Amino acid sequence: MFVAKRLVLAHFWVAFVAFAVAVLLGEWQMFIRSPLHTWIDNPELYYRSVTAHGTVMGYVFPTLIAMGFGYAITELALKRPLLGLRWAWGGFWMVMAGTVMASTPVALGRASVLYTFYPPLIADAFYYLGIVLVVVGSWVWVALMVINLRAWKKDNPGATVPLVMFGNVASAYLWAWTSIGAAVEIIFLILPVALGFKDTIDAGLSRVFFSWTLHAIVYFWLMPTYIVFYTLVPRAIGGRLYSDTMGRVAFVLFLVFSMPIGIHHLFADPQVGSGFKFMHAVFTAMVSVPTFLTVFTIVASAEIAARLRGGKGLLGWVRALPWDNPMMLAVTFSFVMLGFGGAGGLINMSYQMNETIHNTQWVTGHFHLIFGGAIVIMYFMLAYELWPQLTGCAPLPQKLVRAQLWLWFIGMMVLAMPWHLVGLMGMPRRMAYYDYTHPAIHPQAWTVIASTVGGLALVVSALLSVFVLARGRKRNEAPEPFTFSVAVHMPARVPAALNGFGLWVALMIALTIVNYGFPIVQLAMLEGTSVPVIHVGAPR
Amino acid sequence: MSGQRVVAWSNPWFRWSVISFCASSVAAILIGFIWLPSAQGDFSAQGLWASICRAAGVPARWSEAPQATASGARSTSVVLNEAMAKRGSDVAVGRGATLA
Repeated sequence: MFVAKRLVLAHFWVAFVAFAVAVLLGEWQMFIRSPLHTWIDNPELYYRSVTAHGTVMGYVFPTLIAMGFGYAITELALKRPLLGLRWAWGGFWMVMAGTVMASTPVALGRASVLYTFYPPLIADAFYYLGIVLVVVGSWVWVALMVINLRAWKKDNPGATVPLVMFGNVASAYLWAWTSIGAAVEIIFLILPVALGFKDTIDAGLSRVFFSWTLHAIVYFWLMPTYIVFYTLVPRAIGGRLYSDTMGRVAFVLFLVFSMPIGIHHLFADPQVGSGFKFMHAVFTAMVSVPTFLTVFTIVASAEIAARLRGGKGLLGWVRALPWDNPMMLAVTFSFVMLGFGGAGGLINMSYQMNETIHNTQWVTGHFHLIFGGAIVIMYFMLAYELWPQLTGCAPLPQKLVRAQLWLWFIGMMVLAMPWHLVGLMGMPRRMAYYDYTHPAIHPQAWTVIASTVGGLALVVSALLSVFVLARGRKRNEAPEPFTFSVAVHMPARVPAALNGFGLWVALMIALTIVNYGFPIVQLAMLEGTSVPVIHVGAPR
Repeated sequence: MSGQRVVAWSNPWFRWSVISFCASSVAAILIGFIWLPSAQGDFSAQGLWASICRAAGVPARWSEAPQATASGARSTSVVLNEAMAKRGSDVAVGRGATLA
């Protein structure tokens, strides 16, 4: 790498330390509402913790990982120094300032609105201003990714953009468009109320704007993981990428389909028409296409690795895979969790079946399995892969890394599977305590204890990951040059449409207008829809 | 990389992307706003346009029956304001609990 090492390290360190703290908060939440603990005296403390946990895990941690990884990719893939280093540091410090600004009112109990905001609940204005700063800081990253790619293209006319950079910039465009929904909600609907200029809010319109961000943000979290699948996994397990083109297609399909589908989070909301709910369900189903393409391509890449190691037979090659390789373990665990989480997601996105699990612990189980499981386990791997480049350390201790991955996988399954089960039984989410003496709830008590035990394994694993990263010691030799996966057959000519983003960004915007245009305009023009706000944590 | 123009009907990536986008959007609109509502009696009772409007979430009266408030009588004259969401004093809460 050239000039961005310290920059990337700063992003990763803050991300992983914040992540470890948020994991601890999550486990505390599980413990205090389990039968292992008496009812918490002040339930507001629970919601305070949920808000901090969600804000760090939803906004701060993945944003910093995507930014840091993006800067590293830019230098490693384009083989030139990052343009705009000072701006990148500026973006980093904006994210830092925003994190402090948002977390202070949360810690003081003046912003326990959860990371999804939930108007008409209104938090201290500094909470929202902090989130805005985090997002604006990330927009600096978006701009730098686009600028760096353009500069590279200008200097290399006609050259094929490396797949890893193609995915990285797709992620930047996705985030730029995705974050606009929450930004509009905060700036035009919430902040005027939080700053005291108004005392009513259009909660329905706010929720529609947040849904714009709410689901697509998952794909922003997911993109670094998919980039690792395509561009690091095949190389790390000693194979080749099955198809470079398939990777490009998956990235552009995510760009087009991930954005205009968030109204499937509002199936129970009366302010949105059933026709639009159906349309969002249809396009949510379309997002499974790039996921299936990816699973197929990566499994095919693993088969190539196994056959290169002497694997034979229809399925006998599976035994020849390098199972002691942490990347092999991680991608396997990730796919298992993606499989369960994805299958659950198909139920969530179905207009009818959603009714059975809406607002239950099933939903909590689903997004923990997808984000905390399938996605975060690959965040560990991208940090472990990059660490020797960033710090000059020797490759990280494989035994410890394997132990950390196993703990994370087992912990996440033990945490999230009971949530799915108890969600089907009807246990609501977002509860500070349950009355386990009630005969209807008593049989569900063991599931909360099981989730608490799973959470404990996650705490140990998270602390172990920070320990492994901190233990990376500098050595005198220079690290080996960093490489990305090479495709079995590199296409002689990449189609122009898969070497740029113009067509896909246009389709992304067009589909957003089709799916969101009417509901937003209609709700914005309706009069008499605002309701009085409830200030959380305000002096009484 | 191919030197082909991206935005050109002769480019199959452009052509099939636009066709797929239009076809999937039109199909979803037809199913979501016409076909599925037609299976629901209360959606389709007042004709196709009313059915489409209802599926789009446009506020409408769902029944021809006279409304309870049609005579001009208001169902309530209570006005909610922000102060009502605030918690009362402990003494007031205690009095309420005693009365309850």
